[in-house]
Amino acid sequence: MTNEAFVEIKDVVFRRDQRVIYDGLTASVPRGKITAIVGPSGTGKTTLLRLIGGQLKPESGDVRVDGLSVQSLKRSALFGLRKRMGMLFQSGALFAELSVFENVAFPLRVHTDLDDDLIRLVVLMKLEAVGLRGAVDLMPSELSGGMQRRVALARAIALDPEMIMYDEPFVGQDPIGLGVLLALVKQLNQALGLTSLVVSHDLQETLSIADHVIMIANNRVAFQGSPEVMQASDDPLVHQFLHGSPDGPVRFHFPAPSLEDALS
Amino acid sequence: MMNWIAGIGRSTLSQLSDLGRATLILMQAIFGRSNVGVHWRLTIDQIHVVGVLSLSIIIVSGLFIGMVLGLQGYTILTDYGSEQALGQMVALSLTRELGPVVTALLFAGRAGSALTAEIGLMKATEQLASLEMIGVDPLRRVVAPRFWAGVISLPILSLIFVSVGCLGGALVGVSWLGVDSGSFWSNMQASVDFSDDVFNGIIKSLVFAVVVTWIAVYQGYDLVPTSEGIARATTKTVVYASLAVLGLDFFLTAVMFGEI
Ligand SMILES: Nc1ncnc2c1ncn2[C@@H]1O[C@H](COP(=O)(O)OP(=O)(O)OP(=O)(O)O)[C@@H](O)[C@H]1O
Ligand SMILES: [Mg+2]
Repeated sequence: MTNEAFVEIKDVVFRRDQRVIYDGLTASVPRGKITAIVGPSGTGKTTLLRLIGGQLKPESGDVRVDGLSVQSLKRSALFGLRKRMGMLFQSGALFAELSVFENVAFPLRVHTDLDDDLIRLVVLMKLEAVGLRGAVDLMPSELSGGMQRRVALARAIALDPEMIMYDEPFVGQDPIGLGVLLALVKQLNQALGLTSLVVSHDLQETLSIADHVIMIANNRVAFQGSPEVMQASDDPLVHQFLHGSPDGPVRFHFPAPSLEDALS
Repeated sequence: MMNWIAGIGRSTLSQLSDLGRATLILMQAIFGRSNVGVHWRLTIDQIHVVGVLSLSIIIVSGLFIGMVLGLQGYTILTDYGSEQALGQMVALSLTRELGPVVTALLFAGRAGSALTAEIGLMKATEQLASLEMIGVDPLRRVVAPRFWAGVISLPILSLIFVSVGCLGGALVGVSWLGVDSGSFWSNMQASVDFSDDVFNGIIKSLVFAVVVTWIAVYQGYDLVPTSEGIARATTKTVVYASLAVLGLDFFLTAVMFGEI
């Protein structure tokens, strides 16, 4: 296994309207490993995934995926690169007018010439992996939120991508579903050497399978390294986040004038 | 005063940039690589959704407008003793003006708002983003079939509206008020010119189709992905599309029939 990074992010500055989201973000995602992205809500974890997927462009700085500079790729090259990435969206984002089967089959139909029998085989295998083979003929509206997210995961891995980005895959899962998904993320990573990026608020569970952690807070990378080092860290920022204390250097409040000023 | 001028400048700039974005979206949707087989099927599906499902409202409205024309036309024409010209009057008003315009207005309300809401909802639920991440361009996959479906459907709906309207006029004029059926239809046949009237009507309706569908898909694609954003965008679609149709109608009428 090489030590090289699959995704490299360098000095990225990104703004939403006037508000700075990243002010010089530098991070790297090692190839073939599971990388956890953690941080307070609203700190820009989803935004980071979208920058990597080329859906957003940084104001300055460089985002490289497998050596390709995402923000300067042409549309067609970008779409080509995206075939090699899977992404699981925070809301599942299944196509509402297609059945579960067709949702999972969608990337295969678009990007491969497989015949119907083979597609059926692949779809059923992927659904089996997330434990939803029985739901194959249902429509997305007939699934619970947690089930939708699992179908979305099956769709994201349909093309056997080289990298997969999970945005909050564990939300809305019962303990069993959570265990199954954790094992699945780990297994996908090990069996296929998939570079995996997991954004999650289930800190302990995520850290238990992660090889690498990137913590984002206060517009920059607050910590980067292995979970063990993170647990042992005495950096007040990291410590506050790991132990969930309201007071400390991590801003819990959305930027605003002080309460006294606002009330007077 | 300075603020006022700055405000006008700002809003002009934002209108222009809207127009630019809308043009860009349309160009990217229409031109560019596409899988013709798949997109043709998607377009057929959308013709069903925006066209076939609008049929009932178009037929009912066409019938009533034709009947009203028959009634009003008859009362005016009898004053001059020329009620046999009723067929001509009904047919010309419908092919030249009412057919294209009313159909486009109804289409904006029935299909345009639905298109905006549907695309907007797909955006809000990250379906468009996930298409992009699967490596499929939502402009080609979602926007283009809907655009073409609108452009194909509206002129056909408009022809249906005109035909049903003529029948409605005949129903009232001939069956009810007793205008001679032979003179009603032969007058209509003699006075409606294919290239002057029917063809110009189709051109009008094609222009309206492009504009209404364009506004609808752009508003859906560009909206703020919240429930409030979707509500605002659907309203905008109906308002902008209706105003555009009425404004363009005057312009096209002046060019086609104005003899200036
Ligand atoms: N479309 C948008 N327009 C304007 N601001 C946005 C938009 N999307 C996100 N933001 C802002 O960007 C910031 C980062 O958002 P992001 O979705 O990346 O957060 P996150 O870390 O994924 O949070 P969470 O853990 O709650 O999902 C937020 O403060 C949010 O207000
Ligand atoms: Mg998020």
